[in-house]
Amino acid sequence: MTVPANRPVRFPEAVALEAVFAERAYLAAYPALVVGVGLGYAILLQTLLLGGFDWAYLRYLSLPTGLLVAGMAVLLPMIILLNFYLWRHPQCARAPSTGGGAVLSPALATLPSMICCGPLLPSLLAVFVSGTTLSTSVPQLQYWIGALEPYLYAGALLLLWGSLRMAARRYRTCERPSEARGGAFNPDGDGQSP
Amino acid sequence: MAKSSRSGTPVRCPACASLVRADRLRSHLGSVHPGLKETPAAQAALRKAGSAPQPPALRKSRSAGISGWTRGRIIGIVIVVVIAALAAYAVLRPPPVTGVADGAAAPDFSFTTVSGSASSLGAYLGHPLVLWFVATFCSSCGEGTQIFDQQYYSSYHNAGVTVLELESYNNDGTGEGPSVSAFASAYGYTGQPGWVLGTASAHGTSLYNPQSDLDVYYVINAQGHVVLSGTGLGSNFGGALQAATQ
Repeated sequence: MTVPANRPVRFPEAVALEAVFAERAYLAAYPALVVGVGLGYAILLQTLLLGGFDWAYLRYLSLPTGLLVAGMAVLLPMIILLNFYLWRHPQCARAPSTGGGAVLSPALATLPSMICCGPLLPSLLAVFVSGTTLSTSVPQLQYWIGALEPYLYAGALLLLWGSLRMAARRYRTCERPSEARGGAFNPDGDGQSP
Repeated sequence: MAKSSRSGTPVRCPACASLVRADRLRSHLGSVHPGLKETPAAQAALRKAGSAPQPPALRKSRSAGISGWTRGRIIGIVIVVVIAALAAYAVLRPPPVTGVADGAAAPDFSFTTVSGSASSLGAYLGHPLVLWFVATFCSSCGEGTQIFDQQYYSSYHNAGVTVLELESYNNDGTGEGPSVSAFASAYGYTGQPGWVLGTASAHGTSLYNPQSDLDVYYVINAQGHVVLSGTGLGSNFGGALQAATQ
């Protein structure tokens, strides 16, 4: 790696992923994770939407949902592998992992499928309102959730990308530790701080 | 052996070269290089580390404190757990309280087909049928319609089971969403025999879908009695067909 981590980098994710995928094991694991995450997430969304699952339902993914699944399948394995890499190489990480966005984003993106059409939202709102108010407000709310679905999905993907970027910023050059952040002491050097 | 890029001197200990916090460097020197700890270079490095500005991540952890980081993590965990619980509920959802009880005679009501002609439920009684209340903006209704068209239509048609797929009156009272004809063309309805798409009257909607659920179905047998009801027909076409033909 030739870019010192203390220099501002425009695409830190590219720098970090270059290091991660330079190792053959990570490169080999990525396609498997893409397929696994994509398939698992598609199954989850269809199950939540339709209330059950059959392999044939995967054919009926809507365009926004399909794009969400594709985005998750591409980004989430990158975050997983990058965090795993940093965990395996603690000398390459600036700070401990939080990884909150990587967990929150897929969870939040399931909300439209979960509450758009089933009795979940009516059941929850029934705690607060009842009668005519419930029967008029719930479909309106469900309509807006459906209408905003592409934007919610886009937001979830942005959150995921932000999470990848944050994970990448935790990465610092580890092949040349003396360049990493201006380390304090070089025991084998010439007696001067680098 | 790695080389320092600036001086070209050998570097054997990456930790020494990268540690910027005085306390960590002191601890590292004491445990790993006890012989070097008291050298002038080490003392100078410790002084430099002590006066050096801390990296952003460390400054943040100091100012926010461990409790702030932990609080954020707890909030995240709570959100994920709540969403997981909601997901479990959504999949294992209980049957809804709908308008007509199982076993009751199906009351008649009027509706308008997508082609604009008036009709009524009574015209279809005497044969098994599935009465399906949908909203045109409902994703599961759309996907369910596609699934029915491509996977189940022929089974229903061959078994003589009619499907009445009706938009709840005024799209469940919202007045929003695409028209029924747009819904039909988007999801594969072309007027296939034994499958009727239309809009239910306000009276019919209040009878069968008083809670304004988006995806509600009733299976009515040849004797005109409700034998099964539920939500989410998309994942239960097989069960509905079985109930209708029993």
